[in-house]
Amino acid sequence: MAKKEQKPKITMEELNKELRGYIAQIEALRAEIAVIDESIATYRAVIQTINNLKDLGKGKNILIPIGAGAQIEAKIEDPDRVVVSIGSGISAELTAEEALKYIAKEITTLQTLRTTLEQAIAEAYQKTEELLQKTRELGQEEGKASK
Amino acid sequence: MDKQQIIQFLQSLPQDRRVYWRVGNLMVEITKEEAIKLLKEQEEKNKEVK
Repeated sequence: MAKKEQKPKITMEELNKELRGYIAQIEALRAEIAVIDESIATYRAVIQTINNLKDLGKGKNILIPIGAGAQIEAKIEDPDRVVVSIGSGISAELTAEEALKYIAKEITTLQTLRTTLEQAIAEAYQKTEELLQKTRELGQEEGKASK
Repeated sequence: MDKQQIIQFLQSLPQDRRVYWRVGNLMVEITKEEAIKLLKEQEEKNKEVK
């Protein structure tokens, strides 16, 4: 009868390398989620601003920051005209309602992406747990063998 | 949105809407047609790079 080929045993070094890879992956995913959260918060602030300006109506004086704490006075001609970035360096003039809808859609897209990343983190955590268990087992085996 | 989606979005807007293109720190007003042409050119360039 032919002998069964034994699987090459994974070493502690290999396990640790794999573990470090998953930890780095978790950190990168967390950083991405932080960026997404920041974008969502910005979009929500924009929704608030559009609504507030709409409520205030035409002709209100506003201060526009121009950097270094300096501001320039301007008048809002039409709060129902909002220019929104739609990607690839292009911005388009939308009505306030259209802009709000567009932003809400962007938030939904970001939230979906966030959920996907959270799932990826949970999977990476699971892998990390499995690898930690394997590391413990291998450590015990090596301990016994050295006695 | 990818470039095709941006083009479709622009095409869905009424004709009187202003469109701008970012050039460095400036926003330059362009026509919808110019924007679509720019996006198509960018798409072609991307395909060539790939």
